[in-house]
Amino acid sequence: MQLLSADQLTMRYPRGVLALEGLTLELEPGLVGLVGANGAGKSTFIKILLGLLKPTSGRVTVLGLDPTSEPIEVRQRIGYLPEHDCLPTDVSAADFITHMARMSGLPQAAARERAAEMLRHVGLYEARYRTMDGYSTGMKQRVKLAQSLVHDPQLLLLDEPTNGLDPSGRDQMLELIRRTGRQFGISVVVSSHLLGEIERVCDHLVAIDGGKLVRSARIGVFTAHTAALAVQVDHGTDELRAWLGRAGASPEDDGRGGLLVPLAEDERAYDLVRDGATELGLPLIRLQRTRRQLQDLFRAVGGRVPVESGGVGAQEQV
Amino acid sequence: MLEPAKTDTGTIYDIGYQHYDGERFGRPYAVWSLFVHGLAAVFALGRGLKAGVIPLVLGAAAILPAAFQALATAYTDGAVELFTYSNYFINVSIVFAFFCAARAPELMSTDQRTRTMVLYLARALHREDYVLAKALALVASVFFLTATPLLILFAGHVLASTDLWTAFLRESDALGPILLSSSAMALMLGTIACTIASLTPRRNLAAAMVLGYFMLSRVVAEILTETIRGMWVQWMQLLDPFAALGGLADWVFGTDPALSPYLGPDVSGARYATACLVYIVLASTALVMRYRRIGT
Repeated sequence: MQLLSADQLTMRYPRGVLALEGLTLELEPGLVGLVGANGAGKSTFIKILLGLLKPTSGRVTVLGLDPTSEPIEVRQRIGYLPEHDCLPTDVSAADFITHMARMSGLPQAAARERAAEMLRHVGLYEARYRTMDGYSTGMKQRVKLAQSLVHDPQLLLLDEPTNGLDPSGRDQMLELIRRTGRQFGISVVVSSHLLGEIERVCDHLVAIDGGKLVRSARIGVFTAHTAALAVQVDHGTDELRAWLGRAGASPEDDGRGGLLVPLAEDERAYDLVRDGATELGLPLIRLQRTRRQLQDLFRAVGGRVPVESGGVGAQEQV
Repeated sequence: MLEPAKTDTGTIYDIGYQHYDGERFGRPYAVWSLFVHGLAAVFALGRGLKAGVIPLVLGAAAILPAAFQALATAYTDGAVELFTYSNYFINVSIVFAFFCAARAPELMSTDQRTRTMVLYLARALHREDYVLAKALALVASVFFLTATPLLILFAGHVLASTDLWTAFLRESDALGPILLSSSAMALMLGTIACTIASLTPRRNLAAAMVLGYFMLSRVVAEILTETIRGMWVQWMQLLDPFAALGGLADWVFGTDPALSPYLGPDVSGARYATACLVYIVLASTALVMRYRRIGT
């Protein structure tokens, strides 16, 4: 069955902001990453899928249902994790999630049982009777994940679930998401502005920018576009760049006196750099697999560079 | 707690995920659950003793005068009658104003401050369901506090007599008006208080605004009634919602117009009933409109 589809989906807010512009895509069940800079339209798209926003024009289906005409039926099958803080402070996680389960139609006894089960799943079983005002950001984020799962949805919509988490909290959250998708058979759409995160858990990637679809493809296609070799030589960078250019490797400056050589799947770039350095007799001091930034990805696949690129897709060592 | 104890959670994970294939109820169940949840929130049930003090004290203050009156009626054979069906709400109006001011923000402001509403809207509820279930929780709570004292007065009248059955039949005419006036009071105060409280996510401010409205509307109505002459005077009184309720109560309980501060030869009770209805409709509409505007 098709997970979701959008056909010429356009969303213009009352104040005139165009959040989505003719978005068309189809997705199969699985772990889907939704990547784009802040303001690219990720949250708007998620809210349309939930039936919380009505699109200005275009059609959308989720699990074969239309969220604009059957919002309740759709929401019964979806779990949602909003990007902002949304938890009350003066109740315990167990009580709150039980209450949320009832809001999705579960009887009290089942709601209580599943709330405890979900809190165990996210590793908050011990803390479940404490009021949430004492929870850390990481704990709150996991409560948000637990409440999105409590009614056993077929699809999870996670809007920036790693926001505000420290590196270890980030790792744990990503691992939870991966397990949820792989082992529980629940489809996940997870949005992020960090490509590296998406790559770690997802098998399909949707890149949107300025409300338009840039690319929807299996994750490998994107990796091919972003993988690169960081090359540094003691001297003679310009000669090496020219040599590599003649050899067809299209090297770029990395902005720090070194070169970035795109790494295709055949990994020919390794050989080219070695051959070039040998032929020109240059001392190679760095040869490392790295990843180009998110804006390079957009450039590579034909989108425009995101407006807010600060910190986006910061270089990662692989 | 950032879970350094990864080994603990690791073993816990292994219990595995169970899919749920039990019963799933729809929207009416979700609305009902939210309503019941709201009732518990108003009376701070399950929130510990400290949180329950204010609703408990105010609830007692709303009901106890009726209990004292019922005792007085029984012991003095009806000679002492400070509180009647029709003047009860007016005499303890301050208590109801405080109760609404204290509890409406709990229902309306808290979710706005913590931005929790979106989690409800992502489930089996519409925006209108959410706000109406919450407002009705306050209305039902206030109704409990308005109907109970009148029923205690009723019981006082019946039990003061030696022939209970005859007394019951004699008094039973009052049951309809009791129900009518206490529901009008509850609907009016509940919807007005919820509408005002929904304007701000800050609970203390919301409480001050609700209380301020009830206090100021009375002052303004009195000043205008004193200063303006002519045919508008009677209308100005209606700016005070409690006056509208007082007039309605006098009318439905058939109070002698000569003894009523509201009714007169040229002022019919229907005017007060209409005013109450207008208040309820306006406040409910404003509340629903307000929630259409609250972003998620």
